[in-house]
Amino acid sequence: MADNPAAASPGPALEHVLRERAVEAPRWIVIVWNDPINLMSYVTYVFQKLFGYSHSHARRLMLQVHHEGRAVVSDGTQERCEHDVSRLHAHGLWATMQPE
Amino acid sequence: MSADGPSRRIGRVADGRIAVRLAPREREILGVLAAELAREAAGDVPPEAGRDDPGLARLSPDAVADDAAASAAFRELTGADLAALRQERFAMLAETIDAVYLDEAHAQAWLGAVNDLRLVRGTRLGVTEETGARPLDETDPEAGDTIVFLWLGWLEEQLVEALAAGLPPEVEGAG
Repeated sequence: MADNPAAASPGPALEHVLRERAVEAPRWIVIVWNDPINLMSYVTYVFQKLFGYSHSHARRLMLQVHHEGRAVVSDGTQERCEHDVSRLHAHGLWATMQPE
Repeated sequence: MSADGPSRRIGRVADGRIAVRLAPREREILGVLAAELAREAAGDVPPEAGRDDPGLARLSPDAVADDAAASAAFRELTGADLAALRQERFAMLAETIDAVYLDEAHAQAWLGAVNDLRLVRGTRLGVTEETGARPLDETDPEAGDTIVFLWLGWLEEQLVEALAAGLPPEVEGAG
């Protein structure tokens, strides 16, 4: 593929639009909390399956949940986070969302 | 969270299917437990643990931390779909309870159903991360339920391993 210099740095107009949009849609985060029942291997697998994370990234997040009690596993618009939380609940993970 | 498991009876075979080598009695027990939870989750029978059963509540946790109203709204929005998905998984497990080979979708349904069983039964038992690490107290009236819980964990560990082996190969630098 050819290198497109224009793609590397968006013009001021695009930057303005993106900034406006970021202001319009506040970001949310999705948190998974530790629980004594879900298997470590299962939690790692669910992160890989739902979010497409690599095994090492998914395992790192799982260990963060396990040791620190919680980890931020995804972020985005409120809608996006609602979608992620419902998928995590469908897989039995204890997930919540909150504004960033 | 906990990790455990002795000898392997579930695994992915060369053609991509998941082979299940469980004894008929094990299949019978799994089928009965899943059918029972399916009826409880559907509200067809009152939960074994009573009206304020923390086990069933564990299946639909609050979605928005420290915001009961928002969590109730979320439940209103997603609860029916979530319940339907659970029932579908229980039904898929029931229809393949005697199968020697599972396709991907049915293995996923087994995993979901077994995980629901562990969540509900483990919550009712009040398990901790040490459950299974300590020797079992056979005089405990809940010893039988604890054995079932640990057996479900042994099954689930193998289902996860078999399904994880079917994840798409990782792209360098992704994730």
